[in-house]
Amino acid sequence: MKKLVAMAMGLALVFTGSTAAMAAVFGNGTPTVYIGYGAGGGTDTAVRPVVAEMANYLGENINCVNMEGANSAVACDYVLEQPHDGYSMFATGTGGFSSYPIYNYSESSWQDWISFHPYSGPAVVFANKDSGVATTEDLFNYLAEGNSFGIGAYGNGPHTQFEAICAAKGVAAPAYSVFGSCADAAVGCIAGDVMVGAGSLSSVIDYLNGDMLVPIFVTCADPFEFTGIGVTTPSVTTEVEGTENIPNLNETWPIMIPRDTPQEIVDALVEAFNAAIETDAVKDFAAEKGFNIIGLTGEEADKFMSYSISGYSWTLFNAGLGEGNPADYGIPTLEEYDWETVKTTCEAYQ
Amino acid sequence: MGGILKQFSLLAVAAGGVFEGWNLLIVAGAVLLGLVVGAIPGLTGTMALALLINLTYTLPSDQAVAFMLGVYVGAVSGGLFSAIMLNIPGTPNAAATALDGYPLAKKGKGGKALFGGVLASCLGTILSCVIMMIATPFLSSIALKFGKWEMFLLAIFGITICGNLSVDCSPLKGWLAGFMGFFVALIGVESMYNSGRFVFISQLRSGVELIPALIGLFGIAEVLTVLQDRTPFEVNSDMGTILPNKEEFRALMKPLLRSTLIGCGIGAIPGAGEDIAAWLSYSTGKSSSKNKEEFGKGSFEGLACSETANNACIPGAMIPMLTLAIPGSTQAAMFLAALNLHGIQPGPMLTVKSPSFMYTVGLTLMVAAIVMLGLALVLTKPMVKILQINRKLLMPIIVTLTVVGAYASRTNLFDVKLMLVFGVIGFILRKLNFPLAPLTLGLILGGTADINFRQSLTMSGSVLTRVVGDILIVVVLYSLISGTIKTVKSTKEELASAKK
Repeated sequence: MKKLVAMAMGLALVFTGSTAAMAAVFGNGTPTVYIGYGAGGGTDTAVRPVVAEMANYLGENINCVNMEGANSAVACDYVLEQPHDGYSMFATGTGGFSSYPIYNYSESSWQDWISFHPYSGPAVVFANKDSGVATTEDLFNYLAEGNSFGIGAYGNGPHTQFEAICAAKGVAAPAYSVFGSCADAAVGCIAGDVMVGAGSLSSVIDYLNGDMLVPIFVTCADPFEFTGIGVTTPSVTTEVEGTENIPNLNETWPIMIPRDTPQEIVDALVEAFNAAIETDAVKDFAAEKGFNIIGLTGEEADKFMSYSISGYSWTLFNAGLGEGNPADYGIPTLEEYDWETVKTTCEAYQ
Repeated sequence: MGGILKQFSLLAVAAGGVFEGWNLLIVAGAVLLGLVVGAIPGLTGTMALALLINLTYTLPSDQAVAFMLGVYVGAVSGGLFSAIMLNIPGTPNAAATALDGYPLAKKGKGGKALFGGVLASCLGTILSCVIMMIATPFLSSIALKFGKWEMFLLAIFGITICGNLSVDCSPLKGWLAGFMGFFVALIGVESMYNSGRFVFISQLRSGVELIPALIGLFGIAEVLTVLQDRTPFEVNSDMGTILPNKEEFRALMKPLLRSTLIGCGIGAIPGAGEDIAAWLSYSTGKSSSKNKEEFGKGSFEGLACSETANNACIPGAMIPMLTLAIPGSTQAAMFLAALNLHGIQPGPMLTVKSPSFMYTVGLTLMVAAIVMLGLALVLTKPMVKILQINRKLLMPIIVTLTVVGAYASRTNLFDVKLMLVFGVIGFILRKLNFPLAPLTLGLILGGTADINFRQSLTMSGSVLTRVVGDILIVVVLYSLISGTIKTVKSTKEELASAKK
């Protein structure tokens, strides 16, 4: 009976949008995380367990609302337009966020946000089982014939990393087929819409463990074992020369709040976040999905964000994609990147 | 034989869990909640699931599954209440239901329409569950034959039936309204190359949101229509029984099998969904019915076409989700996310790791459908009393609900403005005797057709060698040619009668 009563109360809270007056952190309503991508997608799935555990820790409900569009920039700008009181949070993927300056989606940059990164995840390049593509060499031979390559979106992690891999190998980037999400790219590959593609490992790991696709390589530093099929897939760093830097560009899925949010809210969220990533539920979820728990907050998180933006935006710019020039935004190339210099561009570090 | 026995033992294991007291109570509560959410214009099952996932986090996984599926079933059906009583579909998948449901209410058969709609929903769910439990391996492999090209053709087929959805007006108007919806669906930053199309203001970057547009087209347009009527319709007489008579019952049962198959099949196709299933079923039902002239004027058969299919879509959407981890609809995608939260990993490994889970889902859906029917028996009579209230008095409440619904979909005030704009458009179109159903269909399918067409253009290899695609091309051509002939014929008749 207690459970029913608790659930009824919880539901009442959700639909009335009010929290108990005794609430410690969010006393004036229910906070909401605006997820910049669609319901059930890779970012949505990655963020929800952490938000649920944070809510558990705080003893308060946190809503998740999906607000997709323009590689998550719609949600980004929306949250920035709301009062910076911690009640509106934003969740995205660093790949999508880093592409804003190139595609002119939003003027927002890492300086505007405080971010919490629960885990990072590599990309995986895969092939249809009937494609005859089983190795990295097969893959590049197949692409050299002019065949298309499936990706979730231009500017996302797997796409940008594959652009960098092609540049390192000295081959032209392939003709891309864009499927809308990494999971859709994998489904398109299973269905035979394309015979090869790339996606974030977390979004496609079930298809690979289920023996529905052939893994070619992963973009983490070490080989990755697909336990469902008992196959260990090599790291790109051993497959393509000059790709040692690629694992540093692995995507993360941060929860973000505007930088000028009141400090007591920030502190409470950091505490809840740190507690969340220590729970068995989040650890098990990360293990199932091939995530590495990194738990970045504070200056470490800022450094990671600014580094990702440099890597992603310059890779896309060099590939001739988008209209914006990272130099116009003062974004250094990875060769020029120096955190001590970069952080002087942020007021919080003045 | 051993295999069949094993399946029966798995079914028994699943039944043990589903019929446990707590789970049944949770399903009942969740169905009721889903019905309420679905009945409020703008609040959809997807939204309810998105909000409630985190609340189920602390529950044991079997109770969480029971809760989520109960909400899912309830929310898909709940839309019929406002569609029938107010001519405002509570959810996009109930838009086709309003076509016959509302005229039935106007005839004083609102109670029968409500109960009949829920009965059709219940039977559609149960039959589709049976199909799901028997034919999952076969259907999931067929679903995978639907690539981008096939999805494009399916969407185009949907748009070609626009002429067929015109009631009391020329099919040409249906086509025009359909293409208007198609055009509106293209507004926004497209997701392939991220180019803006008709984005004159920044809020339109994510396009025209379907839910506020539909609430405006149906809800606000209805309010404006009622307010300018001197004597809006009102049912004063005793509503009598809510149980359909023999003839009405027969009409409700007529499309059961066909609509279930359409719903289950469409549900199994990744990226389709309940709204497409309802429209295709309605159009197919109208084309093949002996009483097609009654469609759109208060036909129990038409009502059943839409309601059976949208609910049959739920088990259909579970087929690729459970076996391939590919959700067949947005709501199934939310359910997949919820399962992930609870450590259940659908996909090819599910039959190894949790072999009875598919039966748990099937049986839970069946229980939810039966509970829903029971609730309908209790709730219909009091709800029908709404029809007896002077509609001019109802309108302020409806306007409040529509504003809440439009705002709640993305908690964005711009969506309320969008709803008002579409309300005015809907009102003008009604005055000009343009049907709103094709416009809705264009809105729903435009984006699907556009993105899938452009995606299929980037694929290497010829799309014309794909068997399912070739079959769909023939179907589209047939629909296009027969629709054109019908349009030309009816335009000539109209011209002739105008001359007379």
